[in-house]
Amino acid sequence: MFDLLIIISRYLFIGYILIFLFSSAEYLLDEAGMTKHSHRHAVFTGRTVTALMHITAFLIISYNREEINFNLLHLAVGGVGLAAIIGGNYIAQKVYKNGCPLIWNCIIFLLDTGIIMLMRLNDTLAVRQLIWIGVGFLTAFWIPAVIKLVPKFEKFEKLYIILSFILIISTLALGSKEYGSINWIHIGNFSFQPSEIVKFLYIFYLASVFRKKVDLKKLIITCILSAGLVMLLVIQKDLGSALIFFMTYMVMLYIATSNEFLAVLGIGAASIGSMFAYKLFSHVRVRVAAWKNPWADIDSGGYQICQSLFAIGTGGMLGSGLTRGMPTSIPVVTKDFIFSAICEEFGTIYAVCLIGIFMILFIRGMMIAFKCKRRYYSFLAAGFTAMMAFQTFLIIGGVIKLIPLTGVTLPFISYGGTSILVSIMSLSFIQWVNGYQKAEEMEEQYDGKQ
Amino acid sequence: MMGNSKKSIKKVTVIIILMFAVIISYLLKIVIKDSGKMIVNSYNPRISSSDTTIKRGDIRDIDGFVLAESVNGDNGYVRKYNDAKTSCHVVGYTGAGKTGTEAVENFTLQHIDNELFQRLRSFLKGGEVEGDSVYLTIDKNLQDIASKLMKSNKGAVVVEEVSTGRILCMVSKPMYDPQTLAKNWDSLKVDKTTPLVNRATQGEYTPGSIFKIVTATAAMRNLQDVGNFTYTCHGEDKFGGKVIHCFNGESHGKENLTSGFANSCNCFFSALGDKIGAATLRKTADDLLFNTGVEFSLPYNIPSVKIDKTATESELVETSIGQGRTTVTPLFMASIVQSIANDGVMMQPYIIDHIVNYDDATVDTTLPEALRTVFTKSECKKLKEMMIAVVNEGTGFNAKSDYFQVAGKTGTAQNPGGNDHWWFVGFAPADNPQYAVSVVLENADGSANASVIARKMLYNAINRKELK
Repeated sequence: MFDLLIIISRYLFIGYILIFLFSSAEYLLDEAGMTKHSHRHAVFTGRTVTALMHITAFLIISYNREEINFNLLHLAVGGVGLAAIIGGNYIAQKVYKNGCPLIWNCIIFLLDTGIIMLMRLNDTLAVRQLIWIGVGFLTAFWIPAVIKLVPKFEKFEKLYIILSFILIISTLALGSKEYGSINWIHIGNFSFQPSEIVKFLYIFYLASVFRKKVDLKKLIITCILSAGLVMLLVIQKDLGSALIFFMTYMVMLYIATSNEFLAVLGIGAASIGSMFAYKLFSHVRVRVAAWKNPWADIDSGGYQICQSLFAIGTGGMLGSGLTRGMPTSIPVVTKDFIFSAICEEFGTIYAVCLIGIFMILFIRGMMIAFKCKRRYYSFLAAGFTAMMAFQTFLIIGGVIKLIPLTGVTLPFISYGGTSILVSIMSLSFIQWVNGYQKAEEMEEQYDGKQ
Repeated sequence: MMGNSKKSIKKVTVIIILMFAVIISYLLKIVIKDSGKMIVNSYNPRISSSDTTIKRGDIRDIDGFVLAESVNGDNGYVRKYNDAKTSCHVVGYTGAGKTGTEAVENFTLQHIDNELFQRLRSFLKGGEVEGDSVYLTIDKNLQDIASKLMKSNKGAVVVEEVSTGRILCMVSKPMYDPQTLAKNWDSLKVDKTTPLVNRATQGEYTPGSIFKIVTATAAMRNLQDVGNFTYTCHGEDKFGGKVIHCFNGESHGKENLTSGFANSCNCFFSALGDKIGAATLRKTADDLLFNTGVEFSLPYNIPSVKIDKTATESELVETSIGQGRTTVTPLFMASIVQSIANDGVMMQPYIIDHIVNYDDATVDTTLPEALRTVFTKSECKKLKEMMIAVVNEGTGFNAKSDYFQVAGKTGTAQNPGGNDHWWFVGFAPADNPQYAVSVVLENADGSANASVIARKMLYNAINRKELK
């Protein structure tokens, strides 16, 4: 009987995510003025569907087959989770008056998918993740106030880059090893990934420098400093972050200069650089070998990626149904490989739709950068969006064996305090830029009328 | 300046969209195209897990005889094997891990067609939720006959349909009983006669004289005057310091290619190999898919011809007569003679015939697939002629049948493991080939004869329907 319900629930989840995508499309049409009604209906549909998904999933996860009852603790976590997400969303919209509701909806949906999957894999981690989401939102609520307090934060470019280097170098000195990379610092019970924080500083730094005309001297300085950061990350074996930093640099440089020659040059330099990295560092070679043919080395190097492919392949288009798969056989499943777990139990159709939601998020972010008239804010929005997009691409591409695996987290979904914090705050910044731009537009209209 | 940066933002957006489009296409490609083969891997823990609340599908022989089925016990369904001992390596087992068809078709046997409907029906009206059933290409009757004919010998028998590549019979001895496997697991695992190994696909045997098919092909391909090549055999000869003997020291006198082949004359083929050269012999072997092998759904080993241009003369002549470091599997040699019988076209050998769902409706059928043309038609004609001479006038007299013309080649392979391996590979009827056969008796104990087994297997395969 319960099996029958889970079989049906597979279609329900696909239905939920399709309705969510549909409501997002409706929102875009409303916004473009192609429908008569306001976008309120679409936003409401998206949220309702997310809540329904949350309830369905927690009912399944909480059900105890042997004792034929519900695990009340799990249900309570589900209730608190739902309340936190709805509450957080509500306050976020109050704080970011002109934030884009579609972006909030997408964030909520992604966060919720992550919470559901974590709850199914490891309830302790799910609870911790909920706490981190709470902390993330609470921090995000302060962003507008802080920006008001420090109005000219584009002036501190030197501070940003110096802090970045200090953090990265301190990781080398104090950090501890996790899954082969030295990118964690433990202070007492508290541990964090400095490279995640440096992401922020780095984008602030680049936007501050590039906001004015880029001359050769600036180009060379930013290039050398960025290359230094990337090199330090490669030495720490944090290849994912190194790639993300490099690609963010290229995007921001390209947006600032619109110089295609520089872009080609950068990619050329990166190719030569990666060839050297391949020759110099054994951990790079291991990753590349595991990507080329994981089956040849399934016992050690290729193990992770093969387990990931087994999960995705066995789950198939519709998935095994929530709780009916074996995602715990994938190593690091709560972090790097959570996408494979989603593929296995929710199915590939759901996973493809999930990528669609990420795409909506990134396209929206870029649109905000496009619309924003103030160069600095425009660059900030573009930088944050590009960084998150590359990170998403690297990890999903890695777990499906499209590209070599680099251990980074899937934004909003993977377990990890720093990752959740940075993801929520990045998007909040983009929301703030959107609000800033909207306010400017309104002022202009007002001025025009006078 | 500002306008430019807006254009660049647009371009970056397009790149991001393209990146994710690639991700989505690749993900769909893995799941739709690659996953079928990919997930059948002993490292996939989902293979060994069994859902005992559903009725796993049956494994049946080509005529529907149920070799493996699931029956409802006290703790859910348990697997039952019905007289499946002679087919044990093909059927495989569940319990201590999974092997054979139980492993490679695991997800088919566990796949519940129309799951929603079946579960609803079972919930409302009772009744079983059933996985798909697999029909094999093997005939249980032929399996039993082959096993009986082999008597106390170790080894393997493979019968393959010439025009399709369908495997009608695949027996490997010693065998085990899948029904009692779990109970006997500890002793089976350490048994020195390795009953768990499927010798038909995994046995790496020295080919002996059946390799002369390859040497003869190399000669036809590379020696201009091969038709006029003769050699006078005195029972033994010296090649590069290596003395080569004919079987029982028999001296065959003056021979051409056909009579040398029919007599399986070692001295003749050593002289021929000497003339061909190591690099050329290797190339012919490579062209015949030695060292590449033929894919198969059950675990298999790749036949190997290691000789290359650095080989010494004695290595070269040893390889020419099928000794030395060359190894082949019975299944691969069946594919070689199947190709000769099929105008040179090698067919993909297969063991899964079709899949039916709970309602006995066919959901998937394996279609015969031509792999590659490995012999030319004229080579096939000549080889067939020579293989008929083997049976009618030469060493393969035991395979001569009153009912149809058999074409084949015998082999006696010396090996460090003890007694010689006795081989026979061939096909029949020669004028309109239907079945190819490959028999190996490992360290033959003399209780059975490979040529006799081959002849009887061909007879039973050709008259399969009538004899039922």
